[in-house]
Amino acid sequence: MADIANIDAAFGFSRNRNIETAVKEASIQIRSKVSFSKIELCLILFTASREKVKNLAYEVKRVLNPKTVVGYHCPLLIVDRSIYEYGLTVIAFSGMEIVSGITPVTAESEDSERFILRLLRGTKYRRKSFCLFFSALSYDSVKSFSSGIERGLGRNFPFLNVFSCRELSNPFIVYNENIFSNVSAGIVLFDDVRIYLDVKSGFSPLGKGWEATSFKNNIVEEINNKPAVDFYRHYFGEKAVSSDNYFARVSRRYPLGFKTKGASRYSIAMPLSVTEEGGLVFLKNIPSDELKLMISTKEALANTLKESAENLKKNNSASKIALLFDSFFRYKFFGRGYPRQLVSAKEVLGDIPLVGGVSFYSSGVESLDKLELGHSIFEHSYSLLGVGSG
Amino acid sequence: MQALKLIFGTNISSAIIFIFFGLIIFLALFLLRKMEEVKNKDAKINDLTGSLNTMDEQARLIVKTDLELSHIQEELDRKIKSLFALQRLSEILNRYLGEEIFSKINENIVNDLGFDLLAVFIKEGDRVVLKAAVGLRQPEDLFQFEELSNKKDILSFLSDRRIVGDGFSAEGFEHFHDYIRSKLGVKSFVLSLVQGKEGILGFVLLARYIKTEFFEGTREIVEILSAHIAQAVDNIRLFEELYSSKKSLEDKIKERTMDLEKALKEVEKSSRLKSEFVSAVSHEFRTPLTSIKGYASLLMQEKFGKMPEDVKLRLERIDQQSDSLVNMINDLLDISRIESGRIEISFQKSNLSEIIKRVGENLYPQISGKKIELRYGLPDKLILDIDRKLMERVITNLLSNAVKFTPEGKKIIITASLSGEKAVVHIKDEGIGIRTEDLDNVFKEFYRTDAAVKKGVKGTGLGLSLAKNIINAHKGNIKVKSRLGEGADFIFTLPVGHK
Repeated sequence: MADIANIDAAFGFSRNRNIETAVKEASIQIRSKVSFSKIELCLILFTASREKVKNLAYEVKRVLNPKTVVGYHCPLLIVDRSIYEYGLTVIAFSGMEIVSGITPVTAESEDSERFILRLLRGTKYRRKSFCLFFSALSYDSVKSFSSGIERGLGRNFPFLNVFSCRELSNPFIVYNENIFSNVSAGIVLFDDVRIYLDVKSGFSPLGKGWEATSFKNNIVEEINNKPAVDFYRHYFGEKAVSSDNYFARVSRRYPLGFKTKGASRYSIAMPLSVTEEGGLVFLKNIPSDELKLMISTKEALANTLKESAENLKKNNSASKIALLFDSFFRYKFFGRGYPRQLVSAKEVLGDIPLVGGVSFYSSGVESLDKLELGHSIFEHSYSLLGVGSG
Repeated sequence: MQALKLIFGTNISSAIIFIFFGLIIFLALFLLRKMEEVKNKDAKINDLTGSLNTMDEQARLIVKTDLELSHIQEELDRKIKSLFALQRLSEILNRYLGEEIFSKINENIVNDLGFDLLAVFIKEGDRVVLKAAVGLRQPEDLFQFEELSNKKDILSFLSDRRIVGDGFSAEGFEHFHDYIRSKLGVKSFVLSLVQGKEGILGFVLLARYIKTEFFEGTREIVEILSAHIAQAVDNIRLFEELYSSKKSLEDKIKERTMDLEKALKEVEKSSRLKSEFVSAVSHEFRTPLTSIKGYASLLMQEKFGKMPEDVKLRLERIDQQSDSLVNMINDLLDISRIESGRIEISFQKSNLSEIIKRVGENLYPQISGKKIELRYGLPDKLILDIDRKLMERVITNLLSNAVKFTPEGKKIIITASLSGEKAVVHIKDEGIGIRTEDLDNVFKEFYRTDAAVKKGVKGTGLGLSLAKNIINAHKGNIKVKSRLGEGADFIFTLPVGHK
């Protein structure tokens, strides 16, 4: 066991349009909530543009003086029962030891593997409990980066990587005093930290099972020996294939589900485009196992998060904070009713603060109980991360 | 073989044949059974496939219903969002009355309305002018569009159709359509007429940079938006008109005030000159008059020798007329002094009731001579801060006036009372009265009513003017209520406790 076991976490939130004032306000809120002697890590989640956040870390360091500052740009912020299109959240962690670093990410997965090895250098004799990554990557790099991490950390090592990419042009993160694009910032946590993680979508399988009969990397060429796009033609008619907009609409709302061997539930994969031959292009490789059409309702989505919150409370009552990284597609699914799921989750969490943001993808393990399933890229899914004392 | 021999004896071949057939029968039965089983399984598989297909058919139905529901929900969400945006926009448009309102429309509102770009073109004279552009990528192209709109008279085109664009009627609109798409880089757009109370005010361009199928409620939203903008423009114009008429009114008032001030100065100057002239002339008159009166008096007393009776009679008239002239000059002098502020009023606590009664006694000969009944309605004590002498002159002037115009045997009633912070005195007669049109003039210097002149009532026309000047100098007021033939009621007020 590590020497330090008194982990504390607190957050401050501001909607001030002046980003420097906002970060000061949020930092002062943290100061007034807890009397941290030493802050190891400050996570800043913000919606402001790149030009406005130049002095972000400087301002946080002035008030809270943390060892490491990681700023993560996300389109929407979650704060307890509400979601904000504009704002800034500072989350401070104390009483735990961390190792952090940042790396540029290219389409070569070897780069991210080297980064992991560099990050873990010098921590050989410490038992590491979890890795948290914040990545600002171009869409093409997501897959290679995830494979690199998997190789670097080992197939069963628990980590969560939150991506800020896709519809956000030129994604960026703040790492200490600098702003970076096409990078990933990694934070290694040791066994003094107790983590709860649950990655779920809230979608359920519908209809008969299908099989990917021909595929090449992340392209499923044929399903049931027919062009893969016929899967969507079968359920949604010719329009799903002839209209790009309609296809995008139905594939977002009704993604594809696949179940790997040993998995208890279906993973979500959303087709990104259709090839000329009728193949479906995905973000990740799809196994040849059973495929199904996935469907959900707002109630089902809300209930799933509530269940995760209940499990967090049950399995890690020592959680000081619950970080929620939700998917933008789930947010779109809810529409204006999005806070409904936050309200039900917060009811369960009680005093444990619920903060986070909405991003596009995440990768890592599905749960700490199912490390044997390995790593995956999660779509249409939220990641609920409880952080507490080990 | 040995066993077969034992059972079947030497006929082994028969035995083999028997066994063979037995086996065949057994196998046939076995096969038949298996075939039955396969048939049953096939039937089960068929049943299962059927169920699966039914289930999948149901899945398709569920998906279809869900998709329809989600479409309705999305439409509803978009409408609600748009309506909230319209509400916000309406608040902004109602809050401001100048053209600055256009700069208050922000990108969030435009996005919530379901668009990326909003441009407002308003008619100024014969041209439409770009007034607002939100979410624009290349502003210069919009000015080119403004030019094109004027050249092609877009307003006439829109006046028949009101709304044109993607998903709406666009017949005959090709040149604008292509221009907007190519120049502004938009994929979908709507143009809507802004129709004010008194005619066409301009048009609104709403566009998206990505291809969009506008939802069913878009037309309604765009119409409401155009109506809001029309109302705002109407309000701005109304406000500008009001402002400019107010400004012109203010200018006129200022001009008139300056004229009046100038005229007032002139009047004041003439009044001052008049007072100075009257004062000087009166003063100059008094010396020779005193001599005339003195010599007339000496002649009457026959200090220079005996005078015939008819001469003495005329000398007496000279003496009387000299007295009247002196009185008139004194009145004139007093008026000019009071007007010019040269008279010093000596305020002291005095009983007004006592002053009134004394004046009544002084005038007793004239009152009794005309058999006029003089009645009083006075409190015992009515103590006021007044100039005793000047107040006696006021009462004397008013009462003697009443006596002059009251026929024999009639009444004069003098009352005085306190009303709030004021003492109110009425001198009411049953005389010939005053015509309504004369009421405003009776207090003017030298003014004499026609009735007085016709009846031959003597007077200088200075008594009431002097009385008014004295009362005003006491911070009081004087007025008269009268009708011709119904007597007159002179009312004056004096402040109580004035010092």
